[in-house]
Amino acid sequence: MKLIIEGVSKSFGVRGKELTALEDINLSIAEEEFVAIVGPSGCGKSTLLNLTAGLLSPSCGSIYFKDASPGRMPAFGIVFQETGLFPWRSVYENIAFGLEAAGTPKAALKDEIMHYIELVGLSGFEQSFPHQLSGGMRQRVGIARALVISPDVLLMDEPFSALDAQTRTIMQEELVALWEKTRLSTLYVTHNIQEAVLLADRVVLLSRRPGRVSNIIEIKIPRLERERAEHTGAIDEYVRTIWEHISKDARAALLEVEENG
Amino acid sequence: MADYKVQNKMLPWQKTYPGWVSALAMIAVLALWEAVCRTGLVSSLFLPSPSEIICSLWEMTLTGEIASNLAASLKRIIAGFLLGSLAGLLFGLLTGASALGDKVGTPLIQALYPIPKIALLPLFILWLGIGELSKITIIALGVFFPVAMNTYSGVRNVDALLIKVAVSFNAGRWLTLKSVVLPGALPMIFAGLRLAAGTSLLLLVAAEMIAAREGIGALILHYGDLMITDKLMAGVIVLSLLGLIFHAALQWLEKRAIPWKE
Repeated sequence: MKLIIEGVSKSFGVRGKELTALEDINLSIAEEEFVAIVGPSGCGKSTLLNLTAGLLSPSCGSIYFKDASPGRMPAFGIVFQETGLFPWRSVYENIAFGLEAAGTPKAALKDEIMHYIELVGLSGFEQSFPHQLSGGMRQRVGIARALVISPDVLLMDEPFSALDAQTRTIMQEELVALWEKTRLSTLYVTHNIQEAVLLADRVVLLSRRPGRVSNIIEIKIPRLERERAEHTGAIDEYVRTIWEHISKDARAALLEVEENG
Repeated sequence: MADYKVQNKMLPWQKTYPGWVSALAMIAVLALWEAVCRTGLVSSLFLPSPSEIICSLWEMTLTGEIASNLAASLKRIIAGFLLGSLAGLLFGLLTGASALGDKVGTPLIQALYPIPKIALLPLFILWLGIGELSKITIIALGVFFPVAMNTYSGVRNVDALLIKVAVSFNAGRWLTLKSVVLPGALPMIFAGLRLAAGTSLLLLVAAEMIAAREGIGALILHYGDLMITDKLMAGVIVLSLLGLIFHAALQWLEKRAIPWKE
């Protein structure tokens, strides 16, 4: 099964003006592929993720699953930027939400939920409320909540951007380990080039205003070896190349008043 | 093997309707009301039709009956509201910003707040006479509490970081209060003023029904006693308009006082 984004454009009306956020995006995510989208702020990368998730309508083009097993609409697991945990639900109840929405009887949930709580290293915090957790732990809940529904595709929207650098590094390593266990097709949006290079099979570069795919770079180092010293040079080379591509756009973005959040 | 197109699941939450839908609904309700009255299903003594009410309102406006009563009511509510909100604001700032003020003032507020203010009207009449002063006082008292309490929590909830910033520049108590605490508390203060607007209208009518010869509340009670329902309803319409205007005025003021909001 493949997720295909075909000829997708998205424009918004902002104060009477038509603003093209994305233009003619063509992209596919193969089974067990990790695709990262990198671009300067305002390039529409979050918009693309929202379109994919079915939380926005494209102005034209379509997004579809090819060769899915018939009878069931494939499911997305989404990890949101600011976690989007329900403050009034405990860790356990937050993770349970997706299963409840799917109509799983409450009694049958427990083993599944406990498994994912353990997987993301939150054992002992089942009854805590989100405000009692650190930022890193909160995003772990967000990841467990997305995984527990056994999605076909994982969508992550700058999941670690609110974390400090050290926590972020740890979470990236954990995500690699977790991903190797689940091997879910993943679309990962980030503005952090290093992060994209460490995690992804392919890095898609978006230009800004309008957002177009300007380049796709394949990372040829095996994912589990990317932290090793012998690959540092190669990783840096990828990062430098990508930065060269997008730095001009990033500087332009800096000078622009935020228009569409 | 099958293909599945991704559909936007947010659509039911993002649906919008044009503005005329509200107008249409309003007209439909009025038309239904009119129809029920015209067919004689309900006696016009109990429920006059919208057209009758509008006619009475027009007549009463022409005779000056509305103007004189409205003027009396406006004087009371404006004086009471200004007095009460000013006192509430000062009290809220004092209790919110000073530790001693908090210890002394807050228990006092908490003890007095639950009293239904209208119960104090007889006492105020005894103290201040049956004239305007007792009515203005009762309205001011009703306004005082929501404004004081909201100002208090507004001050308490000002971002501690912003206060730290001010203090780091060696700003004194007064400057910090004026340029950091007060602006930071303004959104809550306005929420209190909106709350108080409703209370003040309620107390105005109650006070006028108990002890007044002029005023919209007195007018409504008068026509109720005489069972002239259409004129009674005309008074109710005036109150509703008064409430709307009050609300709009506060909104206008808020927009100007808090330009940085949104």
